[in-house]
Amino acid sequence: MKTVFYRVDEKFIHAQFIYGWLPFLNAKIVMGVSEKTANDPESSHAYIEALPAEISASIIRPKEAVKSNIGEYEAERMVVLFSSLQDVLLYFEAGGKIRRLNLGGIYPLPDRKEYLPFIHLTDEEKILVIEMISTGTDIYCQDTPYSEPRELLSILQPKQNLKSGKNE
Amino acid sequence: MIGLRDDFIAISNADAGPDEIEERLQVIYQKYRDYHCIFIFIDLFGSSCWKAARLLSLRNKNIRIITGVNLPMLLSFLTKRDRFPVDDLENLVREAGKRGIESRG
Repeated sequence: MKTVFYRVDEKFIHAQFIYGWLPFLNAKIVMGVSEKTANDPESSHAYIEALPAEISASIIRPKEAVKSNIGEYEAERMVVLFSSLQDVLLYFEAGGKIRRLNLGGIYPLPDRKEYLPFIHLTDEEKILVIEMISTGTDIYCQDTPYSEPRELLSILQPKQNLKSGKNE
Repeated sequence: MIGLRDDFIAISNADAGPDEIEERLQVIYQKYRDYHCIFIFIDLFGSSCWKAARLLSLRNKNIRIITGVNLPMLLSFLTKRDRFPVDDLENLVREAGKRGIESRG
């Protein structure tokens, strides 16, 4: 098995992923990683039902994903899709490793700040992703396959107001 | 084209995460939950709106979801919904959708 893509998207398996990323990556296997959805059979059913028949998919807990991410599909291209940053954290805590991680959709909540139209983070989440980067995971933001990737650190740093010289 | 009709509501997923989309749909469903049948029209099969609707339909048997929606389908539904049983109406809407796809030139 060759994992070609690690992504975080709070909409999880949805149109952008199904019609955009899967054909773009020519992936045949989706490993959905979500503590919440893996515990909800109806929700898991609805997500998997949405995928094309030729895609093999499962939705499992982060801890199980660490064990599953080896060996079974030698020739196939696999995508690992997390439903939240919290799931990525649990994956890391269980011993999982990711060299490069795509942030594809983290949506508005009252205590989140917008960094890009599709990236919103609380202060705690901002600290969390910076820690992930500092421990060796490259994190970049890109919602759709043909949009420009942006390194996460570059959007987290405050911009300087050229007129006042102050950080915004 | 046909004027406003009652009991026809549009919702958007703009700026909404999955929980918010489910919440928006749930609020509307609660208003109509006693109806014999509720049709939910969605553009893309598998989209976040579809997923929210599908979850609702798995939990409530009076929901039908139709995807791939085009304007002829909506017009067919709105002009026929008072006259046909649910199964027939669904077939008529699907046929209207197919007939609405044409190419020339």
